Amino acid sequence: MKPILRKRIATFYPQGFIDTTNAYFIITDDEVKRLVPQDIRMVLVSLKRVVFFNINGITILLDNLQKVKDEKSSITIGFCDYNHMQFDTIKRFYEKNLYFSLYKTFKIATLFTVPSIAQESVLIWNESYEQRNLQGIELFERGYNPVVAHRKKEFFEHLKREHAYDDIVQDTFIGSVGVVPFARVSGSAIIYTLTGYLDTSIDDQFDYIYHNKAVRTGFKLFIFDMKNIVSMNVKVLNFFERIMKDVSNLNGNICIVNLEENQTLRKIKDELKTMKVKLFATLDELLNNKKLLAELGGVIKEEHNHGKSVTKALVNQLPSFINATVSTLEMMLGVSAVKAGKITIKDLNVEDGDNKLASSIGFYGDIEGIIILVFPFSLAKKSCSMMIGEEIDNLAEVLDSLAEFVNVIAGRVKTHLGDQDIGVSITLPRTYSSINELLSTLNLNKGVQVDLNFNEERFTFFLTR
Amino acid sequence: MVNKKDLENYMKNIPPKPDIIKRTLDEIQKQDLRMAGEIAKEDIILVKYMQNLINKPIFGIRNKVQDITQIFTILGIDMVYELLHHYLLSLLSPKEWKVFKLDDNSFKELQAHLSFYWNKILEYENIEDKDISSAITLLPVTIIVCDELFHNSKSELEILSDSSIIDYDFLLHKLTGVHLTEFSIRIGKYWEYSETSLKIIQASSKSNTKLDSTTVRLGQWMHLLLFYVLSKPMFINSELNTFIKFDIEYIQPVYDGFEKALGDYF
Repeated sequence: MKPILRKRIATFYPQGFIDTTNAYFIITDDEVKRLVPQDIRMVLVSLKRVVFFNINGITILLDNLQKVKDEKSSITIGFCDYNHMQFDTIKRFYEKNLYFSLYKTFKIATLFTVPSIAQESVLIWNESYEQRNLQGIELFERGYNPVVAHRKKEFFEHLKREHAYDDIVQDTFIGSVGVVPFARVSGSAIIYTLTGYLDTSIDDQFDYIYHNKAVRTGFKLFIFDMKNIVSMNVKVLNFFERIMKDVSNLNGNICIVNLEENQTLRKIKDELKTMKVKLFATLDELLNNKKLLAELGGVIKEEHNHGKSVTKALVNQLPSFINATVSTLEMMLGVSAVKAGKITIKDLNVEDGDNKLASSIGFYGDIEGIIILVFPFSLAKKSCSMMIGEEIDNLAEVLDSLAEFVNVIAGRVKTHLGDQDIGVSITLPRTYSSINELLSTLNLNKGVQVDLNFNEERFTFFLTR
Repeated sequence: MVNKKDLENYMKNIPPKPDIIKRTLDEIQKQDLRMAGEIAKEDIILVKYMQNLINKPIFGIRNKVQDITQIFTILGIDMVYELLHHYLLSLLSPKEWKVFKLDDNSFKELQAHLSFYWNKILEYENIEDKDISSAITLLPVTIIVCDELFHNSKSELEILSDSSIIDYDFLLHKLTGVHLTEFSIRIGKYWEYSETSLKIIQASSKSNTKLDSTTVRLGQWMHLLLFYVLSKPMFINSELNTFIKFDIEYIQPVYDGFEKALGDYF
């Protein structure tokens, strides 16, 4: 089937039914070949006139869309023109791995490819605050005037204001922004969630590159949540033995939670205990015991890249990093950034470090490095409050949100770099309650420091390896 | 691209209903299938057409049936009546398809698919009426007419198809003020299709808003069925999937029963 090329988007418009028998014929290899050299930003399948689809049909379409992306990594792939039920169905199909994008209408998709002409006002609602903010930031960067509703009720209130918005973005999802679905961070621990029946196939499910980077970033405590597994056999012991060896070399710990009791598992549990893997009945039992958690987490110390400084390749990409950071902050704070001082390569130098918060996130792939953002408390509080849509006051909440914030920025940098065919993966974000904590955790090399003022409040961006 | 004169010229060239078909249909009206078979035998092309169509895999007849009288007996009055109308319409199909990637065989597949599933739907709706079952034969007229009218405009169509879905009905209406279904109706009238058949065709394209609820429902089924068949790989490859607009809203009242109606064939 021939796609329609409009506004730098190639859209396939199948009509009727999509299933295993016909999906291969909707996006053929010949069409994939024709699309690769085109000047396009997205390849979408419109579901406007599709009355039936199943998971197999959609998966085949996605596999074929992925072939375009494999050739041109900057391209966004996904679906558009669906109703609410179709949106929910697709999200349910790919709950754990929604790596593609969903745009409620073709018009909404164009907002993410075409710059604004007249600063059109766009109302945004999404249940995930990461998504709604990301969408807001993306539109802001393209010159639109986004208004992010942080509650459904608030969204409906906005809707009552007839003609107040040029466009309304809802039931929309921007895929693949550096989210690693099987892992999340709680404090200084990483929690991996495994699923299904565990045997040697655990190697396929577990992202070793990601884990190794987390180890190198200084994480010490790795918790495996088994609540979603069906069962396991003894072959998983080899896996834990390997992981344990790497982690214990750095004085870290591995814990397993939610592992149910039965005869097979009892033997495995005994073996795990022999390996010094710690077992807890529930995740809460571990997370709520702050003292134990601190003991298991130890002091995080960065083990990476001694003596390596920023490279020319990294410095060349500085505008991508700065643009993503500045436009995100400007959008969140509603004020413009003013550059303070020269951009120089030096050791991180921040005044009044005890009263500043920081967050860091690593990236690796075609280029490698760490982004560090340093905020005064009030600026961090304000931008994080804007992001989650409610006032936050205490330090723990601000630090938690700051981690999400730097994740959004890194996700955007990843997209910017992808546009230039530079592929990177990003690690989990970390936060620090002072510059001292940052410096004692990360053994920082020299890097590029950019100081910016937002309403006289000094924000520092630092890029290093 | 296409103008009103082209449309009139096209209609002027529609051949009259062949005499053999008329006589065969008369015998069917009298419920004399044997005599109908005897008359049909006189037209070798009709015999070959019937043999080819009825032995398509979709009809699931295990042993190849060649004898026309036997074919008529196996199929029964309503189905023979329907297939004779399919044959009639096939006389209009282009010798060489230029707009769609079809040929004689794939067009017959299209007719066979439409007929087979249409009869499943009528079974589901407990309808036994040869005028209703033969209405489906008029549905592919729009495809034939499209190819005939637009076959000289291929390069313009190529350019158009880069930036928009070519909805031929929309295009024809914009150029001439005439909808594709109007051809089905005019040809149907010319070949003496029943009023019931013509109304169902009108209902399938929403071109007549003053129809009774049963006819509208049959029109909704027919519209859904058309896109079920056009979603088959063979017809996606033929570039038929997007030739006219699928109206999802319109088919909603019948959609929930579709899977049940087709049963194991869904």
